[in-house]
Amino acid sequence: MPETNLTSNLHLLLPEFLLATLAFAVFAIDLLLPANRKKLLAWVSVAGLIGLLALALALLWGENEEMYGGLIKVDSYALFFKSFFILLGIFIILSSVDYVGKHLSHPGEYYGLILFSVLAMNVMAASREILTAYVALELMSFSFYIMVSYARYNPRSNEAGIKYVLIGAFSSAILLFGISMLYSTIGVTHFADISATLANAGDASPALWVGLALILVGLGFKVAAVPFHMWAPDVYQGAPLPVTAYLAVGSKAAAFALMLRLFAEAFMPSIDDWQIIVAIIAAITMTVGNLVAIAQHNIKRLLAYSSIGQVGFLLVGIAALSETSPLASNGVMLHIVGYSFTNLAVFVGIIAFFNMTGKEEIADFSGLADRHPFLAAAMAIGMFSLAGLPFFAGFTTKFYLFTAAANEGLLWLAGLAIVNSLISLYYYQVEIRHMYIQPAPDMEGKLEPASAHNPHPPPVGGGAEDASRHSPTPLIIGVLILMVLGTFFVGVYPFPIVEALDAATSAILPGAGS
Amino acid sequence: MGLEHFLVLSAILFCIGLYGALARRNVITVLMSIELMFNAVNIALVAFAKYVVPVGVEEQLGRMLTGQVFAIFVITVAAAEIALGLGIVIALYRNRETVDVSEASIMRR
Amino acid sequence: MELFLTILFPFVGGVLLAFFPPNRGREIKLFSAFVAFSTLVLSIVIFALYDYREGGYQFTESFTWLEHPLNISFSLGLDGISAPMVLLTGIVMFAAILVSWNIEHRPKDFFVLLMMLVAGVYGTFVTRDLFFLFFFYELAVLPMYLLIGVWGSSSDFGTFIRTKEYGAMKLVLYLVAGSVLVWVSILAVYWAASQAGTPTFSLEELQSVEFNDGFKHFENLFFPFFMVGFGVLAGLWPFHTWSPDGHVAAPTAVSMLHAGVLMKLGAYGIIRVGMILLPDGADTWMPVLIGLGTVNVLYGAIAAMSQQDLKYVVGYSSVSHMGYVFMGIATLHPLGVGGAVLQMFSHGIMTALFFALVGVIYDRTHVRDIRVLEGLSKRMGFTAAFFAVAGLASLGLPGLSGFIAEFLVFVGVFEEYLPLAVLAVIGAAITAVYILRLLAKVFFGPISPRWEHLGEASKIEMGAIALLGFVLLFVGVWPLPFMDVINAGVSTIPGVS
Repeated sequence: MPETNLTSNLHLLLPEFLLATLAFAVFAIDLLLPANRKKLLAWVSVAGLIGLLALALALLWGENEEMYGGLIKVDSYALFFKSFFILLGIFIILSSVDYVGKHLSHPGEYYGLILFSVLAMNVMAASREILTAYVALELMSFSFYIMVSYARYNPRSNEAGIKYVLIGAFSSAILLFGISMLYSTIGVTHFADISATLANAGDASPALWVGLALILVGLGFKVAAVPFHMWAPDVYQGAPLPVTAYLAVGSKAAAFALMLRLFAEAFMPSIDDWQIIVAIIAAITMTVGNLVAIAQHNIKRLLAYSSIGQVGFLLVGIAALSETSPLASNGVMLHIVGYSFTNLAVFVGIIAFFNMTGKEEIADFSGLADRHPFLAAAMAIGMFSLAGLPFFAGFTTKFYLFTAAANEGLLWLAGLAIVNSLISLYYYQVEIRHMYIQPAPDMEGKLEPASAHNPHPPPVGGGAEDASRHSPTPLIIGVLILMVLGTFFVGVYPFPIVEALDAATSAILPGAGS
Repeated sequence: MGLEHFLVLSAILFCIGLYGALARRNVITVLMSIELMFNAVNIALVAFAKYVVPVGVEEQLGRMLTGQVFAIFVITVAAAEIALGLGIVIALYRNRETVDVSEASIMRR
Repeated sequence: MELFLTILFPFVGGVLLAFFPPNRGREIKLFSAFVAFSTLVLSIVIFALYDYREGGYQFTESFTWLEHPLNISFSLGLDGISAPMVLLTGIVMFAAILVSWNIEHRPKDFFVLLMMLVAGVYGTFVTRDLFFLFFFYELAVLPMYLLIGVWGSSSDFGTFIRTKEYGAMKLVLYLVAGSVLVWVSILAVYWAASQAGTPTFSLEELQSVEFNDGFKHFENLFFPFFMVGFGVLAGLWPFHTWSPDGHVAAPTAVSMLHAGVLMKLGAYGIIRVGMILLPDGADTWMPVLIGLGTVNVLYGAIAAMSQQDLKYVVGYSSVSHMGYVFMGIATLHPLGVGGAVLQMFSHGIMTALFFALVGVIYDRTHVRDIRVLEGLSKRMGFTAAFFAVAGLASLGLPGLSGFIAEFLVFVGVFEEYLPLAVLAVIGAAITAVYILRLLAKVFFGPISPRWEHLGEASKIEMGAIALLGFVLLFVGVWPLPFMDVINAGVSTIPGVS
């Protein structure tokens, strides 16, 4: 591989540079704005992200170039995830606006951190070298550490932050140790070099396997695969709601973007050795996640376990990767897209509900369908979709993913995944029963502010706050409608998305042309 | 002094750190233990960069230095990680007046 | 386009309904009835236009949905087996909407969900692609939980209460557990076809794949998955227990649609997917199916005889009658299978009529206990008369549709499994006992003073009931148009001779 001129194609990173600029700009504007105008920051961020999305699509469409001597590759895979993460950032910011106004102080840093994490995710999907990927992963994790502990006066948020930081640092150390073992045996860190070495390795040394195993463990912590998942419920429950949503969707999607590239481009030659390990982790992850979810009565914890179950499904796709078929890689990405719409529909519904009532126990949702039919319907649609029922994204993406697994001979794993979908249907229906069948609790306690949960709500936005107590704001309803439409779209007409995925897959698995 | 010595040192440090991170309840101690694990990784990386150079890439200076560069990045990231961790510890201490991980658990009912 | 419209009418109708203001119950009902009526007319036209002399799939159309390597296409087609099912769905749906005129609690949500349910049923019957068959099959299950949970009713047994939530959850989990088996074996079928070099979900292309070539005993291994998976929805013993509980908990219209149409979906799936794709597996497993079907007939009849709740009687009688469908299918004899398909149609109409009548009675009396209901014919002559029609069709009186269907099934079973045919006839005899006893006690006995002021069914309900009763008579008197179409379909099933 020739050493390329480092600055020859620098313009291809323009979206990343501008995104970092935007993040700093938000920090700077924050200093200039009076306290009651902070909402402007959200609009600046969203406008910037929309511009960046347009720029990225116009600039990078069809590009397939390496940068910095192969550290980063700007290809259709990176572009797909770049667009995905930017859109995700937009939706997260939009659904945060009301929540931040009511429950969090320092909105400037909040939006800036979201922008930084989007930047990190973009680099994660584009990096083709372990160190680059690691640094991007840490940038994302750091943003999340701060966002999780953002409710400074809320002990739950503090506790979630502590746990997340400790587990995150711990798993980073394990990941790094694995990387150093890998480096010790083959002396290279580029994905392509690793792949070439593994292909010629024949009988690889035990150190290499220890290294691979440790990398797997480290990534397992990051995505909350069982048995490395115990941090997830606490962190999800303690974090501010929009951050929980972002954590459940964004951090998972980014970690899988990285994993998919890593396994497809670097570890593919030795798939026979790790396939069964990943398959077993996938099996345990989805089973434990879904079974434990049944016992939860806090909605955030429930969704934490359900997202652990979803990680299991995504790992099914990783285990089913193949050099000759694009199905598994497409399936993982399609499931990520469908899962994001679906999960955000549920989370945005919960955010809207929390903004009104300050409650987040499953029993608190009783009678929601009578008071806010659209909110209940949107959440029910999201939950049916998560459970994998048709017309919604969940059915189509799961069908795609499980077909990929069956096609690689992992029928037992696909079967177990389907059984897990059934289990998940049970606990989603329990939630739906509360919203639709249980009568509403007495109306007295309904409008209590979130005082017990959040002892020092920042005094921002006086007038709007009272109005938003009784019904969700148009903004959040708009986001909710978009998410529900997305859920339908992926479920009924995934063709355009699959087209884009085919292009993305051919970038990381050149042999899998369809 | 050969590669093995460095690796043994690195492995010992990593194991001490691992033990501390898993067994200790004081957040500060856990953070220190994790720092030990990072440093074990650094030692290993630098040692590998010195002793193990893959065949065929001797002429590429960039590739030879990967281990060292990696170590520098790890040091930076680890420092940032600890700073962040301590910041959150302070926030926790202000609210709860404890730095003990098990005492801090109020969720999970 | 015609077949696509059958899915589109209820689906678009449901979507439009969602934009109605929730408090305009009357407009919502009128619009639903309008949609249901147009769909019914469309179904009749499609059934009438199906040319049985030509046979095979007609009204075909196909759109690519996902390309290679999945090869899923949204392809529709109607053959001799699905044509009567489409007609059945149209009739039962229209009748079900009519008897739902008394829904006052959140009527909009109710009719939207009902429309989605019907769209799913139509989709399953008219698709020629395995993926979409499963897609619509699951779609038909989806609204069930809410339909039963919100608008259903709990049963008080004195010592314990069967809540509607219990019935709803049990029904949905059973059905989805069944579809887990179906899903797994669909994936297995795709995998085997992919190994054979033709990765596809098209039913016609899969039909030409020799599954046993690539993987010995593949068909024997996976046929029971289809049989049990679809069988759960069809009420196959011992997986039938959701059916009485679910049907009893459900509101009238949902019971009608579920027992009348959705259970047929299961039997249809066994024929369409199990028998047509895996004929060798079907050949191996049919003795088991006929055994289970016989148990269905006898167990259902005996259980129905011992029930005190009117709706449970009908629920168990459904289980019993679905047994004839299983038996007919399992004969692999043209008459038996043809009889099974006709029984699917006939039982669909009959059980819908039963549930509609029980709903009418329950609305007036607010009890379903047979011990309390006495001599209703004095006050509800119309209802009693049609209950008698449904009951006589149920016990197989000549001149009503049940007779033809059960007779054909018996002939098929006599040809293939003589001892079981005897048991099946015994089952029919038990049916006669409980039906006649029920009629005598509830309707034609001396009237209890408690029911002196009972009102008759409303005009709209009468319309629905008369429609269903008329179809029962029509098929019983002139079954030829149905049998021609059904035979055209049955003759194309591999392994039926």
